[in-house]
This record gives sequence, C-alpha cells and structure tokens, in this order.
Amino acid sequence: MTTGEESHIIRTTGNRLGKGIALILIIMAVSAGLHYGLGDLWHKYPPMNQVAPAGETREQTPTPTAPVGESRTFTFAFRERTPTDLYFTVDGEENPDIVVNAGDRITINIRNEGKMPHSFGIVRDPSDLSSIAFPNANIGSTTQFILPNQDGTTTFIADKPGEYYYICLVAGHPDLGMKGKFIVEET
Amino acid sequence: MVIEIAKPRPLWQILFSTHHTDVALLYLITSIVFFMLGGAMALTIRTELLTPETTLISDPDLFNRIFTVHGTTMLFLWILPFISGVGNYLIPILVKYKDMAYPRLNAVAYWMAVPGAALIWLGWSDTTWMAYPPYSTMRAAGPAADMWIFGLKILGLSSILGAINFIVTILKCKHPDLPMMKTSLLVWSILISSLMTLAALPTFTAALIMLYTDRLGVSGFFDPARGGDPIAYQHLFWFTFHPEVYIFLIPAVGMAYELIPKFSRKPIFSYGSGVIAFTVLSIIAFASWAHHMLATGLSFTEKTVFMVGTLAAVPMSAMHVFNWMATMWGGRIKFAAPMKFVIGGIMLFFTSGAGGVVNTTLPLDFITHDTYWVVGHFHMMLMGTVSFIFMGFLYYMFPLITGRMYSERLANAHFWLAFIGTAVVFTAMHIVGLYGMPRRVWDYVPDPTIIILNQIASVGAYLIGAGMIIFLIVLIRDSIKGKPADMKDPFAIGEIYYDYRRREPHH
Repeated sequence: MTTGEESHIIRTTGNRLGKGIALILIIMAVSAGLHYGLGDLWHKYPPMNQVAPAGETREQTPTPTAPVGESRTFTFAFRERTPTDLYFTVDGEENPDIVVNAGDRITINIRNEGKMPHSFGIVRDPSDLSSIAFPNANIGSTTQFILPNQDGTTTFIADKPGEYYYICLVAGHPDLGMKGKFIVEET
Repeated sequence: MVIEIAKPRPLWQILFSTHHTDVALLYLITSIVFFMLGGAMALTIRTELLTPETTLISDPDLFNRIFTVHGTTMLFLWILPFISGVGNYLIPILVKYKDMAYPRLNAVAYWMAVPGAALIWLGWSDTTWMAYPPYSTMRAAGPAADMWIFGLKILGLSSILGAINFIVTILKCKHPDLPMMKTSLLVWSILISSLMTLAALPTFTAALIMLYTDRLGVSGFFDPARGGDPIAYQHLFWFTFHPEVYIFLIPAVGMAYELIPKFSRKPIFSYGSGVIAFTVLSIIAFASWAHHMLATGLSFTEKTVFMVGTLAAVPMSAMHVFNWMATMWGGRIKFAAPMKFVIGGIMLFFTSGAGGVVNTTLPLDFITHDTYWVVGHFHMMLMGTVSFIFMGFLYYMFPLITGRMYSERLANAHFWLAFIGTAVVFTAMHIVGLYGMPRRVWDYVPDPTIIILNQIASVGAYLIGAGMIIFLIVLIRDSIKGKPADMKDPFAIGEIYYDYRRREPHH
C-alpha cells in the first residue's frame, strides 16, 4: 500500500474517467429513451379520486344553474341616519324585501352614501357574516370595504332557491339596521 | 482519502464501495451531473421567456413540467447530495475517525437517492416543486405526480439516514482528544443541519403520504368537500421547507468558514460567535415557516408573529457575515478561485438577504407575493450564495479528490461569467416582479418594459451557462491532465491541507 509520503498519488486517470462519463451518458440515454419511448404514459391518468369506481357514480359538484330567468338590476345605497342607525335603500325604498326567481341574473349597483366604510353580501343567517349564500354577490368583504362616496357593482345568478338576507358585511352593521330579506323563489 | 493501490481501482470497486471517500465521490458526481441537467432546464425556461408567447416550447404543460423538475432537481439532487458528498469526504477526516459511523448505511443512503432521482426524472410531474393542493390532488396527471411523491419520499428517507450517520459520526466517533469546540466550523455546520433535518423532514414525509392518499381518494386531508383544508398542506410543507432553506445554507456557511481563514491567512475572527449563530439560527428557522403564507388569510397576530420570527434570523446571518469580514480584514488574501467564489457568494448573500426582509414585511409581501421578485430572491440565495460557495469549495477539494490542480485561468473565467450572469439574471427578475410579472408563467404581457427585462434576465442566464460549460471543461480536462498538486499546500497559502495519507483499507 502506498503511504503517499514518498510517491505522489494521482487519483484520476483519463481511462477511468472516460468510463465513468460513458456510464453516466448511457444511464441518461436509457432514461431519455424510456421517458420519450413511452410517450404520454407519464401524464395519462387523472388522480384516482377523480375516477369513479366501476358500477358507482361519483357525486359531482353541483354546477351552477344556467341563467334561465330574466336579468334584473337593483340600485342599492348604504345610508346612515346616525352612527347607530343604519339602513339600505333599494331603488328608493328602505330595506325592502326583494323577491326574485331562481335562475335570474341579478345585477347590483351600490353606492356608499354614508360616512363609514361598508361592504355588501347575501348570507343565509344575518348574525353569521361567514354564511355567504352567493359568493359572487359580494361587493367588498369583511376586511375590504366600499369607502364613503365609492361605488360597487356585481352580477350573479340566483341559482339556489331559499330565503336569504342582504346585509352589510362589516361586523355589527346588520344589527344596526343594515339588512333586508332576499327571497329566491322556485320557478 | 481515496487510497490508490499500485494501480487505479476499476470503476465497479468505487461504485460498490462503502468507504466514505468513495460514497462521497458518488454523491459529488451525481450532484454535479444534476446541477448541469437542472441548469440546462433553466436555460430552456429562460429561452422560452425571451419573448412573449411561444419562443421555444409550444406546449405550456411541458413548460410546467420543466420548471417543476428544474426546482426539484436543483434542491434535492444538487444541493442536498453535494452537502452529503462534502460531509462524507471531510467529516471523518475532520473528526479524525477512520470512516463514517455506519459505512453500509452510508452507501444505502446514496443508493436510495438513485431510484428517487429516477422516479422524478422519468415522470416529469407538473405540480411545481411545492405540489400545493388542490392542483396536486385533484388535477395533476399520474403516474408522473405519484412518481414525484414517491421519489421525494425516498430522497427524504435517504436524507434522514445520512443525517443520522453524520450526527453519530460527529458526536460519538470524534477523536477523544479533539474537543467539540476545537473542531472545524464545517463540522458544526454539518452537525446542526443534520439535526435540523431530523426535526424538520418528518412533517413533509407525513404531508407526502397525505397527498398520496388524497390522490387515491381514500382520504380528504386537503379536500374541503371532505372536511379537509388545502392550507393545511402549506403549513406542513413550509414547516419542513423553511428550515430546509437553512439546511441548505448552513453547510455553505460552514464551507465559507473553512475557506475564508485559510485564504486570508488569518485565524477566524470569532469561532464562538459562529457556533452560536449556527445554533440560534437552527432554532429560529422553525419560527418562520408561515412567512411563505402571509397571503393565505392568516390573522394579523399570526402574520406579525411570523414576520418577527423571520426578521429574527437577520442578526444571526449578519453575525456570520461580520465574522467573515472581520476575518478577511487586514489579512493577506489570496484570490484563488475558491476565495473568489466565497466572496462573490457573500456579496450576493447581502442582496438576497435584503430581498428577504422586504418579502417578510407584511405590506410589502402583498406586492411581491407570487411575482418574479420571489423567484429572483430565492435564486439569489440558492444560486448566488449556496451554489457559489459550493463551487468554490469544489475547487478547493479538487486537489484532494484528484491529486491534480485545476486551471486557475479557466476557473477565473468561470467565476466572472457566473458572477456577472447571476447578478444580472436575478436582479432583472426582482425588477420584473415589481412590474407585476407573476411567477411560473409560460407567456407574459407584451409590454416593452417586461419584454426587455426578461431579455436581460435571459442574457444573464446565458452568461451563467457559458460559465458552467467552462466549469465542466475544467472538471473533466484537469482531472485527466491537470498538473500534479503539491498535496501539502496546493494553494501555496501556507496552510496545512487535509490529511491525504489515510491508510484505512477500502471495504
């Protein structure tokens, strides 16, 4: 065994390095051959959770109803009599019940005519700000507001029949009067 | 050392050896091969982004696969195996033991990385290297995505085995006359990063299993329709991968500590502060994972905690940098290639660190989140700092591994091309991010500013590419034809080189 002290150790030789590089290139060529040779095999199958087992139909996510009804537009305003007495006006009326048919395409234009920030949403339960019924009906959110003298607009399809509430999504504002019924009737 | 008996051993003996230098050599060669492959993918990506719409790749899905494999390769098949390679080569020498504590386990860890790499490279998943649900659980096509999950699982297990081996070798097999506080800071860095691997990696391992069972449809951990939460995956993922950033960085810092005093011909300014900074950084690393998720709707308190947790890493990183600068200050610095790469790495470390402070500052994060700024930031760290120091260290180890000297002239050209290229490409990425270009896109808005910035970035990438071709030429040509090195002091810096006369037989 060489101790290295006396004779210089050269640890690499062209011959062995050449063999090593050849080995690496062969491995790469075989892998590339496998990858390309098998074509689209590698990206052929959807995840198993998207495939229904034989003899069983998997429950599909409900698709939104197509807009079969008419298009309706409501003009809302946020208003304040005093800082603790808040209300909406809809086409001039104060907090009216709005009745639409399932499948109607609803457009809401809203203007903040008060002095506080507000935001708009339709919920199932006016005491639970997160019970959003129609996500597309939101104008602003619980953390993003429509500031005084700003406008907002949204269009959504009232595809789920039921009794809902249009409210201001700022915490506390529904209790101070900013809420009204939004009823979607079955057709 | 690689002991060569009268004539060079055949290749298969090195391939199936369990000796630490042989396993290290396999790790190093594997990592360099994947570094080059990942780099080629990066150049493909940059070429595609040279102009809006199709430039080189007509299929956006293919683009997604390329950047997924590029990211996975660079992190798990370049940086991690390189650390294992350097650790395997030098830890037994630095702690004065005959081999790693468990030589067979060491070889097993390497040979586990091989199928892991094969799974990733055969499938070409398109999940991005983070594999966030719902895409990864609901849409990503199999078997590629499943192969990616299994590949990473195997690589993770290999890392854990490697980490156990390093910890036992350092703590249990260290020479009794060598106190821990007298070992090289490289030993400390490998020890700390191995401990971090053990603490951090199991979380991701669990997340991968959950991802896989979700894909099978037998569980719904990340599926809101089944009571799960996709954000939970991000927590599990980043609980592993923010510390992992430090697992990548800390060994590079250790290597810089190994090189800077030698090439400055001065002792380390403060050994103790290096140890303290390693230790504290390893703990702080676990307190900052959610800074990757500031835009996911965390509460203000949570966001603030993680912002402060992230900023707490700054003093520790600065301690290292000041330590290096104080060591260099007044020294007779020899600007050989290893030192150039380390100094270049430190300079780029400043920029990436400053970018990191911007990212974690709440109001600014919402501007930079998911833009090219972030891509520029972490590449500046992983390429500009970690890979630069790695390349410098590889030049430093070159005489030890081959017994020959590399060409300083070519190494110099490599350094300048890589340094200028890195600075150009990743600075341009930062700026184009501020102009609003999102990351992971195949096409972009044909706005003149965004186009020109992308083209500047691509030119920078080509400079790096040219540097890497020179690097490859140096490695191959000088391994065969390089001048025999003076093994006692190959860099003529009056420092004792590593003990190259180890006599333990191969097994």
